[in-house]
Amino acid sequence: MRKILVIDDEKDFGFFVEQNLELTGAYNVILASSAKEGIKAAIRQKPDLILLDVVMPEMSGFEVLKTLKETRATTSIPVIMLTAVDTDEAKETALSFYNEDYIVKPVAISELKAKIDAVLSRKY
Amino acid sequence: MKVQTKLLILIIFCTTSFIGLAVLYKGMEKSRLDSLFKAEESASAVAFEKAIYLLGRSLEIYTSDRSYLGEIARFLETGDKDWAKMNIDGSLAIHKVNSIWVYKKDGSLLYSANDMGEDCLTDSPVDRRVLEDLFADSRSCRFFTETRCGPMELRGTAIDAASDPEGKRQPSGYLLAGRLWDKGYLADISSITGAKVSVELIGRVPSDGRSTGEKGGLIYYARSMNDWKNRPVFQLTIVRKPESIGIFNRASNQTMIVMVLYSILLFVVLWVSLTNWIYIPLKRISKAVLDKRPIEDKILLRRNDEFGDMTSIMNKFYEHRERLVSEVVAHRSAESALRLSEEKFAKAFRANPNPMAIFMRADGKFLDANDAFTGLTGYTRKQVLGSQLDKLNILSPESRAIVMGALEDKGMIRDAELDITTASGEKRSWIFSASAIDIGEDKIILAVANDITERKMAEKNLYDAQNQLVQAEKLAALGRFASGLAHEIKNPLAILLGGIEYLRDKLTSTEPEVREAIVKMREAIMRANIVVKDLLAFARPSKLIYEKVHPNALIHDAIGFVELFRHKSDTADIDIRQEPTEEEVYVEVDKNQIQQVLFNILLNAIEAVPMSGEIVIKAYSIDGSCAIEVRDTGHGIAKEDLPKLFEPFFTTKRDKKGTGLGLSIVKSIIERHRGKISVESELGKGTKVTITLPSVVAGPQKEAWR
Repeated sequence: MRKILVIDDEKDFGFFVEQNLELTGAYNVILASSAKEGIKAAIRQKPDLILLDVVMPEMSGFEVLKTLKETRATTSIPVIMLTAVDTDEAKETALSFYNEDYIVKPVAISELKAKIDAVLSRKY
Repeated sequence: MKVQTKLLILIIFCTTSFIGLAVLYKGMEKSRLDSLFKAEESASAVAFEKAIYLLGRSLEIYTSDRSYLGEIARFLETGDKDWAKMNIDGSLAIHKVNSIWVYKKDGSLLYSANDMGEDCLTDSPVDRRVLEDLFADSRSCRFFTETRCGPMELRGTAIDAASDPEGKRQPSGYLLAGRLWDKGYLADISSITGAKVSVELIGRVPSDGRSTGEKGGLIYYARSMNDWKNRPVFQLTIVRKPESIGIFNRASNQTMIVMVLYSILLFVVLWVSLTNWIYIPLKRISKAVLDKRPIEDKILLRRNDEFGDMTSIMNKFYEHRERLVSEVVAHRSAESALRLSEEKFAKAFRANPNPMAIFMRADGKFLDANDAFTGLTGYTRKQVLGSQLDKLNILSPESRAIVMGALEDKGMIRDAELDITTASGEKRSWIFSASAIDIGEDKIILAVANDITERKMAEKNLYDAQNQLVQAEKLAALGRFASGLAHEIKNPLAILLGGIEYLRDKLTSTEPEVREAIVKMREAIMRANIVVKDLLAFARPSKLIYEKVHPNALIHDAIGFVELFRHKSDTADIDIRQEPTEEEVYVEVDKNQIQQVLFNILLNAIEAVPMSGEIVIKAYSIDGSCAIEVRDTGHGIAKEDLPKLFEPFFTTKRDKKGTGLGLSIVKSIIERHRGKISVESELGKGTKVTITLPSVVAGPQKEAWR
């Protein structure tokens, strides 16, 4: 069972991602509804992969990504940006922090799962 | 030759001719003197001969006294010396005879006596043999001889016997009586003749001209005294100083002095007079003429002669001339002021940076046009000057009517903005002003314009730039708005999609209606997502990454994508064909974006072709641009739809999931590439979409596109 951490302030979206992924039976999904909560969860829970939103109150997804990559405990955890922001600039910024992939919402669960599996298989 | 020189020559001629006359006069005097001298000389000779004769008379008488000679004849016979001593010696003093010699008939000296008491005269003065010769022709003789006591005059006679008083037989003896020409005798001659008398032996006669003639007022008269053989023995010179010659000479000299003095005076008087009367006035007049000024010499002005007249005439001439000169100067300065003014006007006209022209009011014939006018209109000066306003077509007939109408009504037109046409057909904008002017009989029009073509162009460019800026800002704002909107829509869409998919997988119901409802809901969500995506692409275009590429390569790749897409969805029999160009034409574009454009256009073409048809895509160069043409044999587009094709959200295929943003995005991309897109279509026949993009010269390898 892969442990997936979803950091998104949109709780309803996080809920459906959790439900849809767990339905497959291959993933254990942890939800974090704020950036700080997400970073804490990432350090404590040590997930296999993180799905990270960009637009969040208090702290943007890029800052979270930067923190995670700079934190020793989380630096090696692959991060896939999962956001409604669909601009070249955002994609370039994410890439500069060594994220693994960039998925624009809305995304079909099959596509999401395929991308998660691709990242995980690349890592292991 | 100068007048002064001529005057000098004249004076010298006068003076020298006067001197010549004086010399001639002197010569004449000389000849007169000569004749006077000749007269004096002959008078001297006569006087001398007379003196000689008178003095020699006693000697002559002594030798020709017959009674005395009879006694001598008897003495010759007797030889009585006592008698002789008593009678002969005693007779010497009486007859002023110095010496006497008595010879026998054989020539021997019988007796001699003299009163000198010296024996110098005792010897016979001639040889005894000579005696016979002496008296051969005549019974008496006279001659001179030199004795030790000095020159002596000798007279001789043959003595006849008492029995022969006629002298028919040989003389019985001879008698010689002599008289010394000593100082006393000469003094006697001097006193008789009134002349200085001297005697010199022939051998001692000086050759310095003391011969007969005149010298220094003295008259020399010389005469030689001969011996018995008629040979000169000594010369007698008589020097006389005649009073008349002296007076004559003095008078002559005085005359000469007077003449010389007079000639000098004449010279001076002539020189001074002629210099003062002619030379000086002439010189002053000529100097004044040379200096070109009036004569101010008071002496000249006061003169009553011709020079005075000449001076006043000249002064009048100068006065007149002065007046003329000042008139000419005034005229000239007026002329030059006029010329300067004309030149200023001509320069101001010619060099004026604004186009200017002068033409006749009546027929519009050009009289002049400046460089700015010819330069801007493109017509040569020759073309303009030979032509009329309506022949050149600079102004359109409408503009011409406006201008001429205003000139007719108000006599002027001010700041009318008109379009003009140059010789090459170019349009330019002018602010045009003109005034009708009367110059003499001529009614002309002076027109001046201000070319505002560049200013208008600049204004337009500025407006365009501002507009572009505003557009860009608008686009940026729209982009920001679209991004925000997309974000806000995408989040709920994501939740909806997540929820729908959860329901789909979690739902246990197998009712087909429920399943279909879920599928349709999902499709609606996906369509909404596409709309949002297209909207973003249109409103917030991504950055262009330019690269040089051959249009053949772009077309080739686009066809490749379309073919991939077609295999999945379409089954229609459509031939998509590329007609590659051989031209060396390249474009500098964002390859992905242009491919997206071509992709969109090709998709539209495919959708337009109902079941079977043809799509041809080709590239070619036209007017420095590269054109890509997509032509299909589809159903075509209705004429009324053509203008709306590029409007956002305009679509003819709602049922086929079109968002209506495809061609808007296409147009936006093409315009961002500074290109153009046009559509030609005919219902039922097909559509032709043409994209033109700026072409570039250099490109990558020719083979790169293949």
